[in-house]
Amino acid sequence: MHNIFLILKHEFLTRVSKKSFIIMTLLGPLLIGLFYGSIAAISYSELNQSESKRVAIYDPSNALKGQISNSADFEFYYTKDNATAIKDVDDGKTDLLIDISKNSMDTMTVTAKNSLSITDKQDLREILSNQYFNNELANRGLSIGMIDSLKHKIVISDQLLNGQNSATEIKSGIGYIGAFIIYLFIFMYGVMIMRGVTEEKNNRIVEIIISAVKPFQLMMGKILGVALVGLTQFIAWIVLSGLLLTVIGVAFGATAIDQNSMQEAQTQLSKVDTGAMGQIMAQLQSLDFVKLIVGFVLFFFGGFLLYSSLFAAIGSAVDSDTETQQFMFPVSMPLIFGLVIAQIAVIKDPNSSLAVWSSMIPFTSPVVMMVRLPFDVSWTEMLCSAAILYGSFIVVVWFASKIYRIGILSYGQKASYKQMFKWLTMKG
Amino acid sequence: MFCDRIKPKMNNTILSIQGVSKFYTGKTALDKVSIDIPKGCIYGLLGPNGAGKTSLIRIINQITQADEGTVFINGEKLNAKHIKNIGYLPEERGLYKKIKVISQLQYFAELRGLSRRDATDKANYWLKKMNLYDVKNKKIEELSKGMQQKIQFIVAVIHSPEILILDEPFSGFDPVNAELLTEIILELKAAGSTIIFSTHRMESVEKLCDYMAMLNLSEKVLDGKVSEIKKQFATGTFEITTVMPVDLNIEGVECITGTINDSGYNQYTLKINGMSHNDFLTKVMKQTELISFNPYIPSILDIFIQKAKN
Repeated sequence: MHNIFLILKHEFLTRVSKKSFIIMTLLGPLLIGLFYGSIAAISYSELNQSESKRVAIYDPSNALKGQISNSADFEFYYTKDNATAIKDVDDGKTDLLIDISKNSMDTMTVTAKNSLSITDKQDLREILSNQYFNNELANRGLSIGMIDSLKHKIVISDQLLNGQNSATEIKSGIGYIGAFIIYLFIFMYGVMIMRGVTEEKNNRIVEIIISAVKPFQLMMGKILGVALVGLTQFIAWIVLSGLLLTVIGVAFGATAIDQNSMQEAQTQLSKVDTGAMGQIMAQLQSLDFVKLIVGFVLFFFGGFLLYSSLFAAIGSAVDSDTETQQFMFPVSMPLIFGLVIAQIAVIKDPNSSLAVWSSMIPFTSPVVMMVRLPFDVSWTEMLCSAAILYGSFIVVVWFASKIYRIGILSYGQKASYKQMFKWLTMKG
Repeated sequence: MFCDRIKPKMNNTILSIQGVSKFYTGKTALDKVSIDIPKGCIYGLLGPNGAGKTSLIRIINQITQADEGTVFINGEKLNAKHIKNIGYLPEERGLYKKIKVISQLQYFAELRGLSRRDATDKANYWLKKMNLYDVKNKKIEELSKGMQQKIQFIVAVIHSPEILILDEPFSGFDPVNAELLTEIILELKAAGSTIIFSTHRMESVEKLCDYMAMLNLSEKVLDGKVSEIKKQFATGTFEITTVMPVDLNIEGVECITGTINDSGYNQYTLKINGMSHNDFLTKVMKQTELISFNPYIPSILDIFIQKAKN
């Protein structure tokens, strides 16, 4: 145990003190923030800063009855002179010309200098159909005010047998985020372990180390050390993101938005969204956070341990990173499969038999169980799946260490499945 | 227990290897090798590449296990607690390239059972001794090849092992550093350590080793005290140097080789049986002037070649 601890400490400290780790840990939340921020900024500017287009409507038969309302994207005006309008389009004074001269609302010709974009085409179609619809209703004696008053939005308030809110959206969101984090960390840090093992093997350091410790101790120390590095980075990101959000909140709250508009926004919010906000709060309260956190930690570590012992075995069998491809594929398949199940089956029905089974099978359970957890999985079911996961880890790590202890001392042989199978039965 | 049947030699034997065999798929790396290594000596483990030296060293280091036979250290069957008694300089050198010298030494010393404080003290002591104290905070990749070799040597000795195993110790050292290394090895021997040298370059350790064992094709072909082995192989063989060629068709004398040496003298290797050395020399001196007459001492390489031929 002492040796495992020494190796764990060494792995942890060297990796955590690396410049790349510190930079990634500090910049991680910033980069993620920047990424989403820029996406939001781009779409915002696209939405708001594009100038509205001037659209001429040539409607000699008065099909639209001279009515049409401007939208954010389009500014309409009627023209009596088709030829002038075409000239205006050519000069750039007008962007589009809609020709309804065939006295039919079925087909309209839109003329533009450059090709019409898909969204513009869709938007125009919608505006014109709406106008047609409204005109037809008015023909039949219905006013627009009456029509609006007939539209009614129904809210579905779903609840469970015990009267609790079923909180589907929040549950899906939390489960999926948790599952994705597990998936991401298994890959990122599993590959880190694999690289580390190959590096030690190539540097021949391994010969000195395993003359002092057992190969199993070296492998376990490495896996646990790197797991701790992953957890450290994860926690650091959460803390830093929290700080970042607070700082941004304070900075913008104090300066950018003045008190009046703040208040205005709040009153509006309370008017419009009390229902929705209250619902979210109620949904959050209905979640069993103890179970979620225990489950996350259990499956985060269990999944990581299971997969990284496989990654370590691969790393020991090969002489260079390039050789790992053929072995990476079958190892990562179940994990990717798990994420697909999480996306499709679980979101659709978290208690479907595919979802339940794959949350029990150890290679998919870390990801799938995480998605299912918020949906009232019982403690017994969760612990049962965790027990299977950790039990399988013990079996897998036993096999992996058998490959590892021979692999790290075998140089210059092309790694193959046949070879690895032989190593399983070989005496040290 | 079955191993009770094989009793290790007690007295001053520190390491006793008894009937050790190691098989890899399709080939035998070691075939029933038995060697006893006395305490406080420098022991040469000699043989060409592929003779089984590294396999044997890996077994002593508990990196692999013997398929047959037993290894005893101080009369005790080899086990995990002996790790701290052994220091190892592998043939294939390796260190963490991106880690500082001092951290690296601390880590390896701790793995060999030293406390953090002792590890640091010892690391500093050896860095000073090897003239490397100035680079203790540098990364390995920033050091010259020779410096890296010295660091690697410190890794092997930092925990003051009773038994120090050096696999091809001089490869990669320039003559100045090789001299420093030799001095340190002799110091360690004087302080009571037992040093095992493994090499295929037999001439390089000829002067250092007190005892030796020769391995060839997975088997031990010869072992014992170096001086005695040489004596044994030198029996009745002499070397003479003369100014003019000599007719050696003398009864009781068997000429083995005859050449002209670098100085232009005639040099003969021969065996004298059934006549006194004085009589023989009188006969030679009648023919020409005699420059030298010496008992012929074979080099370890000569002995090896002779044994390998058999």
